[in-house]
Amino acid sequence: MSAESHAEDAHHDDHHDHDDHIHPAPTTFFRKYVWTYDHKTIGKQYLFTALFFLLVAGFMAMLIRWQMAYPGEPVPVLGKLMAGKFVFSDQGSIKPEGFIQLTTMHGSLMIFFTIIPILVGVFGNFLIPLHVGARDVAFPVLNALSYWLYLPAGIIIVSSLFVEGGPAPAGWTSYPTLSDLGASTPGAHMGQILWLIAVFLLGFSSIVGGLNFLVTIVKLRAPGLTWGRLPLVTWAQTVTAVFQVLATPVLASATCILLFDKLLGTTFFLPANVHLGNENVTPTGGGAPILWQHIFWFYSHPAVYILILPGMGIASDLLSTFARKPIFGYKAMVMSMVAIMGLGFIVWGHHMFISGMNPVLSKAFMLTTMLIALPSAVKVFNWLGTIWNANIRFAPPMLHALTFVSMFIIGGLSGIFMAATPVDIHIHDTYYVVAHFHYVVFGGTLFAIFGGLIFWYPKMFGKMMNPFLNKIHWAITFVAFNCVFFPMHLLGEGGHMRRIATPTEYEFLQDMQYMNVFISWSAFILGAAQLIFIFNYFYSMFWGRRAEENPWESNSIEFSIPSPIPYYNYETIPTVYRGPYEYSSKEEGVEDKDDYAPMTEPGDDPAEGHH
Amino acid sequence: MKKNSKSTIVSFTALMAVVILLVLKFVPWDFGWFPENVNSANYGEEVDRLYRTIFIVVTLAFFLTEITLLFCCVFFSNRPGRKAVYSHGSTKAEIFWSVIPGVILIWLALTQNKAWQQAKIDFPDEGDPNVVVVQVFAEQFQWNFRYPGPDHKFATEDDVVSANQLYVPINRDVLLKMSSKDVIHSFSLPHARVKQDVVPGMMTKVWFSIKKHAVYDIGDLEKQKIKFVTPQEFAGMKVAWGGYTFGEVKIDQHGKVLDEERDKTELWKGYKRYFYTLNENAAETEPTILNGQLSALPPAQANHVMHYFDIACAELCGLGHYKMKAQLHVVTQEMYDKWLSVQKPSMAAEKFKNIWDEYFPQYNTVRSKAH
Repeated sequence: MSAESHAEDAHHDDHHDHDDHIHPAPTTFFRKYVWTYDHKTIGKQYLFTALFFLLVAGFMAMLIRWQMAYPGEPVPVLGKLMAGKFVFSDQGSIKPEGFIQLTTMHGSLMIFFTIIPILVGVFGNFLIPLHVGARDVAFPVLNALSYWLYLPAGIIIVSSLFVEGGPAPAGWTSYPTLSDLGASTPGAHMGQILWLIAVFLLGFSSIVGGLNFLVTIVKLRAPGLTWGRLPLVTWAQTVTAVFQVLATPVLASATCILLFDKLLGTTFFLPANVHLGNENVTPTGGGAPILWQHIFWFYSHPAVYILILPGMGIASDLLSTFARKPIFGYKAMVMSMVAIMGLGFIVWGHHMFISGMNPVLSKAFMLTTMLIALPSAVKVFNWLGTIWNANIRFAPPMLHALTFVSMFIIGGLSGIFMAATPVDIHIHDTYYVVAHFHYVVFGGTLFAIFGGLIFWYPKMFGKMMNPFLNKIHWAITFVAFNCVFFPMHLLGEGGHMRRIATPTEYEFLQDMQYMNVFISWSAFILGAAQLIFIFNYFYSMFWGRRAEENPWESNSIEFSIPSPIPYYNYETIPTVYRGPYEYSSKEEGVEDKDDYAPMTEPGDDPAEGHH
Repeated sequence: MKKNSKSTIVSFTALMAVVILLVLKFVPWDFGWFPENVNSANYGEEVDRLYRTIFIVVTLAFFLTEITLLFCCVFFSNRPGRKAVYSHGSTKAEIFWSVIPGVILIWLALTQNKAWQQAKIDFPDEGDPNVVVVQVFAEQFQWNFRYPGPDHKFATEDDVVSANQLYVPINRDVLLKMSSKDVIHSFSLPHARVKQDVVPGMMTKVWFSIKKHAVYDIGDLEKQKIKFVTPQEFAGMKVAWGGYTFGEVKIDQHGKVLDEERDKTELWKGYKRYFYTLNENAAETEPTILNGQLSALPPAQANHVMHYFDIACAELCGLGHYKMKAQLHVVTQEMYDKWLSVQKPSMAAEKFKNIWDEYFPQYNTVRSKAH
């Protein structure tokens, strides 16, 4: 029912009785917490599931770092407990095949099961209906289905850790023929099949979710909420949803085709006469391994933007709110996201410069890749413009937002090296790439996520997180993060390959081994620091300070209703009078509490006529 | 609207100037992390030069933005009575900072094309007898190499085949024609800025030319180390070719050799030293290179040993990916001819014969540019 347009509401006055639109809150446990249609609860379901995967994948990163620092040495404690099981050898060290399985699962879990679900599943679900002034998403049942496709996908991929041969070993990119031939390496059969099924299901969840959000944003905006007044978080979710709807089906078909290869004996990605040992395993063949790379990256490059755009949106909102200043160049911010979307579809080839793809094509992909740096650069300059001449309040979410900007700068700039085809020859498939995407996805997105989780915590749980613990967590994470990932650039320059289980195997990497040790210990500190956040998150839920309606003095609509947000969100569908970033608009009144103008407070739009 | 105060502008400019001067002074412009570049092909040096070009642009952009960020945090932080300047931005500023990076980015893209063209598109002429053409057949987890032999034709009786040993003469164009037997591998030669995926079912090519020999200075056992030397320097050395065994020993960070039993925790740190030791039965007739020429000098009299460059697999190819490596031996023309003449048929030869020649005979055609 909530799918109906609120357009006609625009003409009613605010005191109109909307009770007939509000469904009563469910009372049974099952309908309240399990099969719920409430976007806020679904958002929390996503949150807790994704946090679980964040811990699992983060823990895998610790194992990877142990092996990189001390190749072949038994893992303390865990190695003894699990000797001979899972990825461990009988001595308790990590087996070579276990190592590549760990890197594969770390990447897959982080990208598919943690970051995308948090950005889209948590922030998308929780914020989109609130930000458009609706009581729920356009299709609440479909929304529940999205989560209930994500959870089984998660269960399947976790179960793949325990099957014969272990989990998928072919990298999160799963390049055939390694992923295609079940006998190529341990885990390439059952583990890989489960990986493909899980990613396929997740793709479905992503497509229906994206569609749902698009319809919600287009159709359910409150009266007065024009496209030009939409918070940038929601703009980012709009662009992300377009990516999800257009790109994810390509991934779904790719996984489907690879499953055909593995289960039905087709040879889409298998050329003729591939030999394992002396056995000709594809006497017929006829396929092409590089085809997978094209299809995979046609999705996965846009997926990279799915990983960063919502983070950019969150950072924009936080920066403006805590700088007490309107966002610099709202239109340019929106246009640059749209430009990223457009260009995002024609840059996938930059992952394939040395793949054997026609090298002439690489020149075109290099140009589009260089160009996509431009909208990102404009965003960075506009963020800096936002905090220039501002009145910055260093609350914990702001620390994370500022860190997002500064780390995203590094991640963006290092990308230029890889966009340059000749330079990429040297740094392709090295730790340079690892450093680059961790600066973007961890340094960028994850910091934005931390900021967002703290910022909207009062709206989610009605409590405040402990700001002191938040600041400690931020400080340690910021320092340790840079200690972990900055030296990886240097390793990459030195030619250190990705995904090798023992760096000490190579003479030319020997001189840099001390850096691996340093990185690993920094990583252990980084990992441990996250426990502070987790503790704070759950502790505050029960024992945190009760949150008032608008603890951050934000203009955004969701801060005009009680914390935590009631089941029906808005008793009356709000009317929006101005954009979300009208801070410090009043000439008189220098008092802090006077420097904002909530979107829903009746009055003039100070942005009108102003330029 | 309140404009930027004069003092803000002055302090910002001053800070920016100071930091940029410090950057110019202290940034490690020698790029010491890169392996020494020994590729004398026309694109070889270019890769490093382009890296440095981008590095300069990027470093400036980095400090410009990060200093602005820090500056804002310090100068525009919340103080009692402070109020932010109400502004929605400036179109002029936006045009300024879109056009300038745009021009720089397009210029960067255009400057890359020549080196890319040279590295990946304009290969040396396969038909030219001066070009060393080698077939590479990658498999889990080994590199197989095949040379055409004196007749310059592949799949003939005089082919020379080796596993994990690639010998090339110094300063000659080497063209590798590569394919894979099973999964995707990647031929990576960090010292020559060479990398190319090796894909089953298709042929990919790389080319390079190496300008230095890799030798081990064995003057002092404690301080044995790898050196890359030009042919001129090489000619002045007494280099042993054979007669020595390469080994490794675990050390602590001060270079002290560790005891496997006693120093267990130290062993974890993974420091290693590599060294050559003279074989006990090193035949007195094994060739030793003196003044760049093969001679019959006993290896015991050498002060250097011929060494190699690491060839690695850069694409995840299965459980043995980490140890799929080969050795690139850069030798003189005389040594190269000698090496070719003493190779014997091996298992690797069977793979070429039974799989490559059987299923992919088209990879054996030599395409000369003259025709």
